[in-house]
Amino acid sequence: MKKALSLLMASALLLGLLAACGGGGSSAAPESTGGTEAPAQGEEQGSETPAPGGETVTIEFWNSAEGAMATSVDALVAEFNSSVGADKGIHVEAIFQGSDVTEKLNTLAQAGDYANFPDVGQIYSAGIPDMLQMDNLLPIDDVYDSGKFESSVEKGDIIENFQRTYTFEGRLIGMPFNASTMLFYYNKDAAREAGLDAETPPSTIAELAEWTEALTIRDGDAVTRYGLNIQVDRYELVNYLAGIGADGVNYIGDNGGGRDGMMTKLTIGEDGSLMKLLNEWEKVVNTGGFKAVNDNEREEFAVGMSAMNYQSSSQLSTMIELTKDSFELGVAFLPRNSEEDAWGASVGGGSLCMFDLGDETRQWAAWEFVQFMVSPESQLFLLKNNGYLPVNDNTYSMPEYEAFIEEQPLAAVPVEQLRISHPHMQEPLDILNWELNALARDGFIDWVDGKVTKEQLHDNIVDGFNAKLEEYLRANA
Amino acid sequence: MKSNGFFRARKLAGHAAFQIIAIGVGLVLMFPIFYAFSVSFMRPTQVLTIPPSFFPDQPTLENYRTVLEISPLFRYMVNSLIIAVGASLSRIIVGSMAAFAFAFFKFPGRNLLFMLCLGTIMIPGDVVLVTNYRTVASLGLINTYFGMMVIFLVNAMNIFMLRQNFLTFSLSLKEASYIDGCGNFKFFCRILVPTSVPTMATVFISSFISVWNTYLWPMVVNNRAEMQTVQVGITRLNSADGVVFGPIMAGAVLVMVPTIGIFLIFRKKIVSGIMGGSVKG
Repeated sequence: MKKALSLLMASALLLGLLAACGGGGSSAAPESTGGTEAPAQGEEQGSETPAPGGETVTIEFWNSAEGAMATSVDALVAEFNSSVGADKGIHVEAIFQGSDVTEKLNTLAQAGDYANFPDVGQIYSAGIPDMLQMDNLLPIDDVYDSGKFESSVEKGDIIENFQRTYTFEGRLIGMPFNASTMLFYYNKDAAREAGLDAETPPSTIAELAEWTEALTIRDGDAVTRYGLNIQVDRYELVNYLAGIGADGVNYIGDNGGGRDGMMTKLTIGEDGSLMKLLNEWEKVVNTGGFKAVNDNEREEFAVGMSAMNYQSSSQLSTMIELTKDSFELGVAFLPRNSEEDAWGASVGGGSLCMFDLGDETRQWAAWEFVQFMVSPESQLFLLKNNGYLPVNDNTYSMPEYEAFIEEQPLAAVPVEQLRISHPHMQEPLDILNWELNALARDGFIDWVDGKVTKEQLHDNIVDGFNAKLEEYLRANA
Repeated sequence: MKSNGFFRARKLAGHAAFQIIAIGVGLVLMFPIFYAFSVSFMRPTQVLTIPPSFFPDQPTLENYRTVLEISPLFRYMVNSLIIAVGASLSRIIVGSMAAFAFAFFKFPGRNLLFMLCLGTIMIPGDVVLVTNYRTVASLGLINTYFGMMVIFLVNAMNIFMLRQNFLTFSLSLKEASYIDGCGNFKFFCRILVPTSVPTMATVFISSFISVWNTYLWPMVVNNRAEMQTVQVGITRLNSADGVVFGPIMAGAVLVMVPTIGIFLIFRKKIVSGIMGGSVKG
């Protein structure tokens, strides 16, 4: 009886599972949802190699494109599929894989599942150390050096600053794709009201402190408008540090900030650059008009709850849109730390990494796609729609680029800032980037609240991060 | 008499205070949903105003149009529905059968098995993510709906709830039905299941909502754009680069509709379900 029952239950269970399974399958009907019209690139002919046997090669492109960028990526992929792809027999399937493709690839790699890797993945610079651990990574320099495929985009076409971001030990790992730098945004109307020269924004942190003082509005003890609102995460910290150093560049960590070999420690303590930075920023903190917490920085700036803010250049069109009805927006270079330090900003954004799935045709198809994405036309498209700085130098000589800058002069500011930035001003490849993030953010908030001193903040960041890094390196030697 | 009236008044006051607190808490909990609903009908310029406005001045359906244009949300909802319904049905079937065994059979190691079963509640899902992925990938279940729901097919908490419910049944009832010629399976199907509908409804609804809201696992095991779930779809609308509160809220409201629908359908059953097993432990 019991046997019969268990048999029955087992079969019922199986039935239930099968029913649940129903409707599965993996039909790969492509969807193209191009809302915006992507650039036509009919004239561009790269490789002559067609797909063998006239069959269409389908490749996967995993991306982290969200919001407006999602629409642009979909439009670019649709454009590729209908132009170059249609000519050469390549179909690209774009798949959104969460806010950071690196996390998913790490899961796959830990499980040893390299078979399900994509052909191309969108990888942020912070993800490059992880990519170096992948068995099947196909560095962009390997593609160039092997000469197996023809190239319509030469390596020299890509601006050096952007190349450096994705370079490790002299090898270009990922192709720079969506690039941005940090910019200084300020409220010109507020500056005029405070009696400041709105056309000459602060050029040093000391001047930034003066501006912060002048722009802060108080009602008794309460601040009703902060002069400056910026949360100092790792991204902000490394940008403030970028120009403090010999030759006008600060590598933040040893081994060229982790690009000439594994980074083993922060150098900003021993070379005194962090203390130089804190000495200047102390002037800003002392004004009492500096808010170091990001509640909703951009929107609070737009509605007049703060008067100055640092944001990525990719926020430019959003900022213009948000502030157009309320006040005149000013955009400028990041203030230098002091007169003796260099101007400039480090590069942010993402790259396209290729993976070897053991099929040369797919590699060829992936390479065609990567080149399409960084072509002058595609990069102009990203600039216009998303504010990303074109990584391809040829974009800047296009008449369409000139026309766009004429129409939106503020968009030229990040480009000029990039031109004067040392190519080695970069975020470090610091592996434990989230640790530095937390140390910087919490440290600055505590400093502004008077809970820690400048010296304590300095030691917490340097010693705290170095200890974590040492532990990591010992465990993963 | 006097004291009686005094106690009654005090009881009434206590009752009223309780009601007021309950309504207050209810309003606090409802507020984000109400605000999301309201923002979904606002024009972009109205969303960011000081002081904030809680009702749309000129209600617009533009946000809904935008969200459906930039994201195939209905397709994603079908995917989520397949996973959520599949997993919830499985949880009821597997859960009730396991609970049946734990409640009515006496066999060596029963308590140990039950403890092991409950012990799985203490293991956070993220810890076994990579191991689960490895298993599912080597079974060839990547890019299948079954792979996306497989780790949700059984839930120890559901087994526990159903077992507690089954324990309220008198064992002599089962023995009586056995004497009348009713076998285990017949007893399970004809007597136990029909009388446990409230608990099963509770299991279904709680499971449906949790699987519907799952983000990480379905994303990890699926690489097909057309098989993505609503939660992944909603994430894609949100971005650090652009302010699109309206469409995001419109998307969130649309995604909430099925869970609210399921809740409304089973609402009456759910309370008796949760209370049902609570007396006998």
